[in-house]
Amino acid sequence: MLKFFAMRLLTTVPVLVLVTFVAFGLVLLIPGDPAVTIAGPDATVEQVAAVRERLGLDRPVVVQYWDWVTGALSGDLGTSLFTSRPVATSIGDGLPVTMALAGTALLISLLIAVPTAILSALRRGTWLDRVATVGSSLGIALPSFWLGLVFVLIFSLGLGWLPATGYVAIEEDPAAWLAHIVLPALTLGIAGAAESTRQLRGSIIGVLQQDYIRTARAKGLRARMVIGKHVMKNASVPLVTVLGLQITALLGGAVLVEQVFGVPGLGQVAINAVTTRDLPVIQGVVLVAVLVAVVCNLLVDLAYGYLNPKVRPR
Amino acid sequence: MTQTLPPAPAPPTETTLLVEDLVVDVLTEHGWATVVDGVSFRVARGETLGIVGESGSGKSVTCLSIAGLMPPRQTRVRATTLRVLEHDLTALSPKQMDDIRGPRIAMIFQEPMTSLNPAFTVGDQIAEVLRRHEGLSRRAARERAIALLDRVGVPSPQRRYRQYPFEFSGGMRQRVMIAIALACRPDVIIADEPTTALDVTVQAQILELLRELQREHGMSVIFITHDLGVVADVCDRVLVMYAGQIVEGAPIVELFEQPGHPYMEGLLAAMPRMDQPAGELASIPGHPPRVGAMPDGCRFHPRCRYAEDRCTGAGSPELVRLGPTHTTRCLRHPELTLRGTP
Ligand SMILES: Nc1ncnc2c1ncn2[C@@H]1O[C@H](COP(=O)(O)OP(=O)(O)OP(=O)(O)O)[C@@H](O)[C@H]1O
Ligand SMILES: [Mg+2]
Repeated sequence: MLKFFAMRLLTTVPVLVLVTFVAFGLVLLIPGDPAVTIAGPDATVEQVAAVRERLGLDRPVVVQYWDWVTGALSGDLGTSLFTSRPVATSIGDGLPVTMALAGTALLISLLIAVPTAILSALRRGTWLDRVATVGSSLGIALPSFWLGLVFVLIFSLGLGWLPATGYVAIEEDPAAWLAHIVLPALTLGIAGAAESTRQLRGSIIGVLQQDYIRTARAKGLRARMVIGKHVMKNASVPLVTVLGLQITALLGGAVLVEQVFGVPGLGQVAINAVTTRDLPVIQGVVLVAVLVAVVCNLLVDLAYGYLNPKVRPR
Repeated sequence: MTQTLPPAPAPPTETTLLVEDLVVDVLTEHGWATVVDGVSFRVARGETLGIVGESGSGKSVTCLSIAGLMPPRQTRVRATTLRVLEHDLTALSPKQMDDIRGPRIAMIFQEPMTSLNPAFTVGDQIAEVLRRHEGLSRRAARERAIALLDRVGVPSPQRRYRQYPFEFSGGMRQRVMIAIALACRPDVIIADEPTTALDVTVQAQILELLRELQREHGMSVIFITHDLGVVADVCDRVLVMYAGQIVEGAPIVELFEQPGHPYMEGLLAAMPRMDQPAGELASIPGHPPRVGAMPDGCRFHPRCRYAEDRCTGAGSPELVRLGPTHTTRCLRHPELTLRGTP
């Protein structure tokens, strides 16, 4: 397993290099003189010159890239053109919030999907199964921002149970953090929950028909063991694939949900940066977002190795 | 009556499994259909009972029903008696049945390639039975599992304990299945075509292993197979099933020398000879009836060369005695002299 981990880690190196190209290359995609574009239509000649100077756009591209990469490696992503704050600081503020949001969303979606899928697979064809099936079709079809607004209407404005917007750091006040994160996380996680339920229900039904499940029952194992151990470890393999895809979608969805609920996460940082053409911030956000996605995919692959002994190298 | 009596000596042939009038219905596209119809038999300690019959005759369903392993919502299982030693299985809840499977009844299945869970080590799959039924610690279960692997003839059991099923050959997997079945020293082992999927030499080794283990532990074995050669090799007594019913039951020698039912005579005639490669029995003309479309009268009559008018009418014939241990479900048995094999 350790060897598998090391191998997999090595294969991410080229991916990481590619990521830096992509993030940095954004500046090259800007048509015309990037300094003019970044400085904006109303900028004076002096302002354009200042931008060019600050970004080092007058130097050869290779040198610019090298500076940027070595800076990034030491945690320096440059400073914002707009606020003059270090990009790393803005990201450092936003990233934990987005991670907390996405993590909680994933947790909630699994807490919904796993029990629902198990019950629905075991009671196939009953009213409970039908309710779950219809529910998951709805969950997949309904747009998350709309769901978010409905949740706010019911739980905040209607029942007054949870705050409608805002965010409190977990280290400040855990209870308040939970109250603030539940609705956004639920909004973000519901589509994933629906998709995971559907996927997992199908794979559980398939695994239940396998000979080795009959063997497990023939051993006199308790139903809890047969399902929890023998069925779930096999049925989780396709779920992990789905989760791997969902994680990326979750990061994208977070941008939207953060807007709806006023959560100061990476999404907010990104939107501000894009609207103000704050190139260093955009580059930093792209780099970090892709890094997070790469790490998540690494975790997914490790989960594969754990679940399916055949894919491990020996 | 305060005096404690000395324990009664066990009868010379203790009954480990008693089945009376087992009826199993399954849900098909056309509704409920009876696939096992009034099966009764007993198995004595240390005895090997064979069950033979063509594909679809209800051999597996009989055994899975006894062990409570038929899918509950698509099957109805009824029986006057289902008894393993002192346990009345008809009165047990599903949870109580979990305690019977393993220490009382264990099963070995036909498909060694798919009967082990691919996601867990072989050792874990043996050890978990011991942990479940005997409450052993992880370590103690591990030691016992390694000893079991050794006993069933898996070489270097310490190393093999940590390997996964895909690293085992078919024969080795079947040995693992036997180790699992044997783990809690069951009173009855049901082996459902345990060697059908294996090649001939491996098959012989597995049969020899089962015979040895049975002698060692004094278990009862129910041995389901298509292969009359195997039956002759391992069984003391045989039940012949046709279309969900037992049509004949006899000790092995009697059955082969003087079959009491035309179906059995047909099976023997279809048996490959010594000088031919072994194969499945298939050469009785015609096909067994389909589930839910049983012929009236004797269920075998459409394929029977001895059938008369009375064989075709009014309900299926009763199982009648030919001798103290020989039964048949044939109306014409007194007048027929059927051919066996010497
Ligand atoms: N779960 C089930 N649902 C519906 N029908 C079933 C089910 N299990 C078995 N049957 C039917 O019951 C009949 C008896 O099947 P069974 O498996 O007992 O035959 P068998 O004698 O073991 O045959 P084989 O030699 O092929 O293993 C068959 O017609 C089969 O289609
Ligand atoms: Mg069968």
